[in-house]
Amino acid sequence: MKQSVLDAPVRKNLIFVLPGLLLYSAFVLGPILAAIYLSFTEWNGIARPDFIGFSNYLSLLTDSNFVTALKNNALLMVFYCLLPLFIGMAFASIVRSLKGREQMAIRTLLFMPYIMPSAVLGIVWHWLYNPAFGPINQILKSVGLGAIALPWLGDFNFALPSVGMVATWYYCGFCMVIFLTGLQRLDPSIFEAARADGAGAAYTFRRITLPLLLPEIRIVLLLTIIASIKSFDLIFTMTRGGPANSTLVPNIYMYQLGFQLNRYGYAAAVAIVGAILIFTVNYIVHRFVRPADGGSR
Amino acid sequence: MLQTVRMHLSAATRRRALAATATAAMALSISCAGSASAADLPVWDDYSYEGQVAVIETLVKNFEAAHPDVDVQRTQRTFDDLALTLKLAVSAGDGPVVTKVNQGAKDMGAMAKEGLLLPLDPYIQKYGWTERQSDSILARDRWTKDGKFGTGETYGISSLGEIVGLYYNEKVLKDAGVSLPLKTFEDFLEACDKVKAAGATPIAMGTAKQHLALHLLAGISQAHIDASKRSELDDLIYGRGGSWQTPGNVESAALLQKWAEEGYYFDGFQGISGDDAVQLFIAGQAAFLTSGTWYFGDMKANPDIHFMAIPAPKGVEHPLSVGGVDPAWAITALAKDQATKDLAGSYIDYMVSPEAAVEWAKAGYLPSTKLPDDANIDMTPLLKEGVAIWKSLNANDAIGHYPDWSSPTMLKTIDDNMPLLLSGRDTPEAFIGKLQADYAAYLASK
Amino acid sequence: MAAIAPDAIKRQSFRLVMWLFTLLTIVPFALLLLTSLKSKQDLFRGAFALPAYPHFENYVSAWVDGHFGTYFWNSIIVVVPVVTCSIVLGLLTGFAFAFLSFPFKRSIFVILTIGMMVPTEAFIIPLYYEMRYLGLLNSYAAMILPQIAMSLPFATLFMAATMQQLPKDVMEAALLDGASRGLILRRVIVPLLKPAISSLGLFLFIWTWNEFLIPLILVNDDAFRTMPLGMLFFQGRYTVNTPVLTAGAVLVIAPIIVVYLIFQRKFIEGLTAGASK
Repeated sequence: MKQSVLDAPVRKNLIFVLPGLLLYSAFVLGPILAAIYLSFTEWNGIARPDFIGFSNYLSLLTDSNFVTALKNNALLMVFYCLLPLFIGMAFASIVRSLKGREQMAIRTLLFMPYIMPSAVLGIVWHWLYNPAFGPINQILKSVGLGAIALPWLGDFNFALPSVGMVATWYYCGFCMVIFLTGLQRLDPSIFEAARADGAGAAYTFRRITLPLLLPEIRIVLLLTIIASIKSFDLIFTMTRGGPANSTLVPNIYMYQLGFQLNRYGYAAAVAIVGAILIFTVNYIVHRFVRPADGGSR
Repeated sequence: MLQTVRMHLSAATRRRALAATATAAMALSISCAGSASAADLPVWDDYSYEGQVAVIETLVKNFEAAHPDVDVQRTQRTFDDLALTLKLAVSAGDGPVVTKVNQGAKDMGAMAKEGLLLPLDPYIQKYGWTERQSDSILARDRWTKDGKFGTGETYGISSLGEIVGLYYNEKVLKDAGVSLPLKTFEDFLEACDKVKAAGATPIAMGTAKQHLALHLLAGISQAHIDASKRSELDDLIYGRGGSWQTPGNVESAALLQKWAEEGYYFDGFQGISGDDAVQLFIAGQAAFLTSGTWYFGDMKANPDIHFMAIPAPKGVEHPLSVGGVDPAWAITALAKDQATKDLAGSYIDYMVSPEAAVEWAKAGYLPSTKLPDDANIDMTPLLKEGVAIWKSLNANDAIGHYPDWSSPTMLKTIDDNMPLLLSGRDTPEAFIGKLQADYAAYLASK
Repeated sequence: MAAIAPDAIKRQSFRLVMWLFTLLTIVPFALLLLTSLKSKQDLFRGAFALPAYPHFENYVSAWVDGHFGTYFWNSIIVVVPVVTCSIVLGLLTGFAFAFLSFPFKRSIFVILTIGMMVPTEAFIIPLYYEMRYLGLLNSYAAMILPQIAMSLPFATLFMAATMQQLPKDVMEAALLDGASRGLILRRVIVPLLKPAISSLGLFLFIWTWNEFLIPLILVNDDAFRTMPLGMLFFQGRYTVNTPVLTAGAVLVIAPIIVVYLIFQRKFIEGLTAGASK
């Protein structure tokens, strides 16, 4: 790590770090360590936890529900991360060319879903998808597409994509705003130079825009991947993991195990595995999505 | 935090007051102890629907009027909310003294086992609650120290009765040429066919949320059991053994599956929640709905809707109706001293009193305590039907069971697998087999 | 010159598509508003059918039965300290991560990242017992302290990342002028970071406002419930009354939209200011 001119002896530096770290240790790190301990126990939430070693983790390996949850989560990442990434980037490059007020209006509106409580959005979308009196199927039926007016959230094959589309809708505007900021950060003269050299739009995008946007891509990927593995509110309010576990994700499974079935130790193990997963995926992003200049923190 | 401090303070003053008076008579009667110092009574309940809130607030006010020194600190929680936090709060020592708690192994059973609930038997004797509610009902609140369900000490008593029965829309049935009343199960099947033939939806169903399919399955299955042969079902639910793999269960599951395949439910029922299906039923979009008396309030909106027990096939004289009681009132281990316990006891006594029953009935709810014969209540037609059924079910000992009480995981197992049954991905035998596997695993773990 | 015309057409069609998507994004909110003004009977006439007259009584029953006044103030009382403290602490620790050396810097960085990724559900039970031990259950502190701690990793990383992008000569110049590090942070860095700080504030506001597991578990007194919990409470109570439920949803999100629109100006000003440099 490079030495900064602002650096000073450690004793003086600690003043900056300690307040935050103490609070963090007290209310996040401590409980997390306790949860790790719990994951090695069997605990019903009332009596003393019984230490059972790695049993919970071994059971997870053969737990078909957990495997289903992992698969579902992998699929959800397409909707949480990839689609918003591409759509957001496309939107950003279109919106960039728009003038002040219009740009601001579109940006404000597209970003809107992101500020809403996802629990409320889940309730709203649950109703939009409703086969009996939801608007989506009403529109489909009125334009003669009654055949594809499916029971979206109740259909084994479509429940997960239906939930996923809501996540895409939720994160598109967010990604666009991040990319827009990124594009505005870039020096316009680079593009002028490329244009002067006769580079086509596609070439410019692939060779100049994309590499220069890597810091933003990294941020977007990090945030959406974390969000996808943390996803709870949307699924909880829309399907609760159903039908027949077709939208079950580790977090919902953990909630069911802990708060519905009172298997807190086993639930903690699910949480820990989920956390390890997030960590791994993020490490991969950190490792392989680097800014073009090769610099890292 | 303030509340905790307040609780501790008042507990201390109450103890001092008791020491000062120090007579057994004083200790027994909370109103006397209360006259020496004001008492706080933290209460949690799950009466969160509009109509219920009005009733419970009236009842609390009445109770406080009769006990001027008592301050009832009522916290209202939703049913799920309550299940989520009650055990945590009581085991951590910062919860209610009186609470509602759901029966069954997951909540009441677990709490009784850990000593978080106190037996109510002294108060049952003292106030004579057995006069008000039948033994078969109180058995649902019984647990032994070693975790046997249905016997042992009684840990709760409920305010409201619940019957899962058949709601029917008279108008839809008449339009389809069905003649009423439906006397037998065969009549019911025939009526469904006629409604289907007339182009309407026979059965209101939505499986996305809530438990309509579970109620339909259990309702049909238990309507085939005569009250005289109920011990097998009791044993099953109370965890004494037995099997889910009965011909009745498999046939009922097969019937549910057949109805799904032949379009007897709402179009897209897989994506409709149970509550939505109820709304559609109230709007006259289906002929039948199998669910509980807790929807009486909502059903009032459509005068064509009536309520009956699910009819039994010929030869079954007193069919069981799925049902029971709402989550029970219980005293938690946070009632440390005798005075607090007695105050809690008297609160519960009032909540299950005939006077409270009248209040519930007036608001359209089915009380589990017998209504006084001379009570002159202007009941809705639906509630009259409900009260009559409740009376005869109690007289015949024909109140069945919620299947999900049989193991802590049964509700989830049924919910997870019901869509597979209805979509034809699982055979009825495989479906019932999964319930049996869940049950066997629970018995083995006890 | 001939290339301009097709270019303009392309631009206009892109613009049209953009607006179409934008409208699609906000249609759900419009429908929400529309439904909240319907009667129960109107619902069955179709989602887009207008009610005969607006049923404002849905809002009355949502407001009167829902104790939304209390919930609203509770949310404010929780959100304001969480956002302010998280920003201040984020600035301090972010500054340290960007410019200072201290022992275990890398490990602490990793530990902070872990906290960003572990879902709240995973440690809510131990947290509950900790709060109980501290005697903080059923208090605003029970909601405020953990949420500051939970916001800290993101605030730190975000602040550190932006600080590293600041031109170094500005700080060097300040240091040569003899300014202390605290003063440099306050007088030089914070003004330069204003856009980033306001975006951070917006994120923290949204996350804190929308948090529901923390208040659900750590507070069981109705007097301390926050807005999203009010909604949860509503959902349990009015599942069979869609118009009142949607009215409740509008009441929950209306304050966020208002704050967002006010904040949005600063947010965008900040972004454009940053871009113009």
